[in-house]
Amino acid sequence: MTVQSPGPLAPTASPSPSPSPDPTTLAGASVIIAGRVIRQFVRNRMMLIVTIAFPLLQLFMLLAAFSVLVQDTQGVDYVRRLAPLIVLTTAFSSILTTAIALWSDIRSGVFNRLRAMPLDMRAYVFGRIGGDFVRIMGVAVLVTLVAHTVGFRFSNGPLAVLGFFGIVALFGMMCSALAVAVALVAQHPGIIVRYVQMPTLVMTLMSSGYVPLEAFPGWIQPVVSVNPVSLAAGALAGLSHEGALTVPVLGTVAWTLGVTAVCTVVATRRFALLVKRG
Amino acid sequence: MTEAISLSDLTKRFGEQTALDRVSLRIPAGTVVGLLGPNGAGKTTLINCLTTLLQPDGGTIEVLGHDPATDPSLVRANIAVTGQFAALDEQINPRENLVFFGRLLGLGKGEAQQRAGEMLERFELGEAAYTPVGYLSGGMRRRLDLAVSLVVPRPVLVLDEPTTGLDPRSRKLLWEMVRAEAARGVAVLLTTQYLEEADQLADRIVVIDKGRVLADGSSDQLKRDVGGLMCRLTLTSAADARAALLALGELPGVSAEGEKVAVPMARPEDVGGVLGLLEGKGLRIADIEVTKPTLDEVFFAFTEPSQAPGTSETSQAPGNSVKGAAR
Repeated sequence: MTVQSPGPLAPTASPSPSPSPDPTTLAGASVIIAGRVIRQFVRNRMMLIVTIAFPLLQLFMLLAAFSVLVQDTQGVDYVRRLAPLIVLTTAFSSILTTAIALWSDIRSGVFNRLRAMPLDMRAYVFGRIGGDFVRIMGVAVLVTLVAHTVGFRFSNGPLAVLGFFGIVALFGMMCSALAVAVALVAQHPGIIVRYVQMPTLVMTLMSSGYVPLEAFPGWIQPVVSVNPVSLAAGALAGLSHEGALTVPVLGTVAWTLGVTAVCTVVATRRFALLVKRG
Repeated sequence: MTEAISLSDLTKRFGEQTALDRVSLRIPAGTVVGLLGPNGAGKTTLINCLTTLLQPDGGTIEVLGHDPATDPSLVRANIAVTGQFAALDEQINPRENLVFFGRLLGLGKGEAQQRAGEMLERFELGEAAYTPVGYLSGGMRRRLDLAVSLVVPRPVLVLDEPTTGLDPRSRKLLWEMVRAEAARGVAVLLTTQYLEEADQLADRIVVIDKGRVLADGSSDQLKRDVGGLMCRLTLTSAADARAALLALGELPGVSAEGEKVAVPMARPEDVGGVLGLLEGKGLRIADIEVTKPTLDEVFFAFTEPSQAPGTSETSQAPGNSVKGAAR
C-alpha cells in the first residue's frame, strides 16, 4: 500500500503553507487506521484473553464435559457442533471489547486530534470496521485450526469451506456494526456492558449451538430456532459437515444484513453529529 | 502579507452563556502569543473555534487567509494542535504514535519512521520509544503529545495549556521547543494559566476573562499599563518600618508589612526623594529594590475589577496598591 503525499515534504525545512487540503486518500487513511486497530488488539492482553483464550478454554471444557453425553444421545461427534459455535462466540465477544475501545477513543483526545487534522473522518469508521474484520477473521481461522486438533473437520470440499468463512464474515460484520452503533450511542461504558454482555450471553445459551433444538422445552423452541446464533451455527455445521443448509444460511444472511443496515443508519447519523460538534 | 492567524469579533455562545464576546486577535508568522486567563475565561473555546472543532456564532477567522467555515480542510492542513488533554493512543508505543499520525498527515512509510526517530530524539523520548504510552509519566506524555503535533511541520502551532502539571524539566524542554518553532517562522498561539510561562515565552500577551479581551500587549507594556514602579524597602526592624511609614505618609499608596515598606512610584528618579525622607529620620535601609509590577499583579489588576462588586479585592485598582496580589 502506498500513500502519496501531494507534494514533497521536507521535514526539517521551515514550514510552508500546505497547498492541498487532504494529504491522504480516504482508502489510504482507512488502511492506516485499520493497521492501528489490529496493532492495538495484538498489544492488548485483555482483548487477546477475552476474544481468543476464553473461547478456546470453553471449547476444551465443554468438549471434556459433554462430548460423551451428546455422542450417546445424538450419535454425532460433539466437536462438530461445538466448534462452529465457539467460532461465532469469538465474534460475539468482540462486540464488547470493540465498543469499549471505540467509546474511549472518541472520548479521549485522539478523536479530536483526528478531527483537527486534514482527514476524511469516514476513514476513521472504515478503518475501525476494516481492522475489526481482519481481526475477527484471523481469530476465526485460528480457533478453527485449534478445533481441528481435537477432531473438527471440513468434509464438504473447498467451496463449503469458503461458505463456512463467508458465514463467519457476515456474522462478524454484524458484530462490528453493532459494536460501532452501541459505542456511538452509549453515554458511558457501563451502558455498553449492560446492553451487550447479557444479551449476547443469553443469545448464545438460548441457541441450538451447544445443545440441539429438541433439548429445549417445547414452548421456547420457536425462539431458539430464529435466534441468529442458532441459524449461523446451523449453517456452519451444515457447511462443515452435515445438516440442513437453506434455512440456516438464508436466515443468517437476513439477520446479519438487517442488523448491519439498521446499525449503519444509526451509526452514520451519530457519527456525522460527533464529527461536526465533537 | 496576510497574518498567520487573524480573528475579528469572534463570538461563541453556549445557550445563555457567552463564551467568547467579540474577540479580535492577530498573530503574524514567527510570533508567540500567550492567551492568559483563568479557568472558564474562554481560552479553550477560542482554540476550538480556530481549529475547526467548534463553529463560532459570529465574527471571522482566517488562518493563512483560509476561513475554517468554508475551507476547513485547508485550515486543518496548516494548523498543528496540542489540546489540553493528551491525545495519544495509550495502547501503542511513542514511536508507533508518531508514525501513525505522521502517515495520516501524508508521510510515506519510511519517511514517517525516520521522522519519528528524529522527534523521539528531539523530545528526549528515546529510551521510552517502545513502552506503551499508557505506562509513560505525565511529562513524557505531554512531550510526546507535542512531538506528535510537530511530526509534520505546519506554519501554525496551537497549544492549549501545554505545561499544566508538568515537572520543571519537561516544562523547560517544551518551552525550548516552542521557541525553536517560533524561530523557524511558525505562528504560535498558546493558552496558559501560568503567568511565568506567558512572560517567558510570549512576544505578546492577551489577557482574557469571561470571553472578553481585557488587555493585549507585550509583557512590558502590560506591566507599564498597570502602573509605574514599585520601590520595595527592607528596614532593620518592624519598628523602623512603622517609622518609615510615618515619614513617607504623604506619598500615596505606601504600605508596610513587617520590616518591609512598599512605595509606588511614577518614575525611577523618585527613589531619591524617598531615600532623602528616610535619611532625614535617621532610618537605616537593609535592602532596596525597584521593580515593575509582576505579571501576577498585572493579571489580577486586569481580571479582578470585572468581578462582581463586593469581593474584598475589588478596591485594588491598577497602579494603586498591589498588596494581596503576591504569590
